[in-house]
Amino acid sequence: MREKELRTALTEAGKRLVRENLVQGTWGNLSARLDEKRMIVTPSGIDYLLLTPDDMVVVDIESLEHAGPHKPTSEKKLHAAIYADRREINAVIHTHSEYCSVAAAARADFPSLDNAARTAVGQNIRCAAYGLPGTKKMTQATVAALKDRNGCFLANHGAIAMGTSLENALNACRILENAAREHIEKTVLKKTGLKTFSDEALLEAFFGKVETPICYD
Amino acid sequence: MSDNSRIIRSIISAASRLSAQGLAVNLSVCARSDAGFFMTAPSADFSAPSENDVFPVPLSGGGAEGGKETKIFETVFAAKKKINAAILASPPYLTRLSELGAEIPPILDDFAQIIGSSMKTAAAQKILSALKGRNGCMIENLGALVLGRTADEAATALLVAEKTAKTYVLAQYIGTPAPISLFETKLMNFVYKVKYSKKAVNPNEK
Repeated sequence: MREKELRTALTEAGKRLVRENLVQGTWGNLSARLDEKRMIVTPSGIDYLLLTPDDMVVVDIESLEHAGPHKPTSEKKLHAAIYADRREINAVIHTHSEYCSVAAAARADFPSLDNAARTAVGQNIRCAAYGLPGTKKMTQATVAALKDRNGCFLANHGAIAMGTSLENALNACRILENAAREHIEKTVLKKTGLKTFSDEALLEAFFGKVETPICYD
Repeated sequence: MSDNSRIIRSIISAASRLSAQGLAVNLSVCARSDAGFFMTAPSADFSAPSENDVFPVPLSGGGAEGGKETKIFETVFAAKKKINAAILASPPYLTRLSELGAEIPPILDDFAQIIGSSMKTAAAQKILSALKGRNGCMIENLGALVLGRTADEAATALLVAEKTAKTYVLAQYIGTPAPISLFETKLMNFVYKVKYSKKAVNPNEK
């Protein structure tokens, strides 16, 4: 795909992430490999629904140098490290989706419960060790968690998924979120004895579970 | 378009966004104006809000006649000069946690950035204490209060707060929620404020 087409595809993919509630506000980011040395990434701090193809930023994968009026996402290091480590990957998407966030908050690995998840993501879904977003520590932990995988959770920070195309990466995001939801619902049903999962039933179960006010210091 | 029209439009936009996400339970959205603030009417249809659903409240005197929401907004705007918008709502997870007197720890980075180091529960008379260094708190018997430099930012804060409340509950079934350190939470919150400060200079004009 040429640069112009990739810019348009990234813009549309960003809007799809919002519509599918995989990101909120300006959080999360997307990128696509332009060629061996360059990637196109979403800019920092612009609402997905306001993004235009011209807002996308071309970034050098090795030097992280970029040109144009917008700053690239603060997670550019992470995207670049993935492209450098995985030559077959052409698109990377970082989301803050609901159920992946639960795994991220508990810093837990999840099983891949079905074939779709095993094919798109891997045998299980790892949670990368915690690192402050945008730092070398987080980048290294994420690249390690993605070994032989096309997606993982990021401790306290959501999830990341990738693919050989932008469409494949988007699909991996959806499968990751579905896999997280299925595992969480199954675990909650098992631990609470509920017959079906719903917000109302869960809140009733939780209200009964917690006996004293929770305080955090 | 006048300043007031822009403010009203920003309130309608935020209310629509929250309604689309199912968070319009007991929703009240307000934004600061030169003469006081504008806020949504309790009778508003948030699935299709219009200018008729938003009314002005003068700088002084409105609270005496207004409901508890009006008084809370007056308290916030009087104490927090950099805050231009506030939202009250009763989304399910935040409301239930408020009934428990809970304090939600910073278990997600977007929460740390936009809300702060935690979200406490307080009585309506003590919200300023609960909001110290934070952009949100839970209010006993009411639900949640979130703040922003714009109505859009406050709406995002509510979305993130409710997501984090649900995450906090669910994470306890699959393991132990691991909070981000206080230092890193404050750093994230600071960076967020600075990063988005230019975009929020004239907050209600988006």
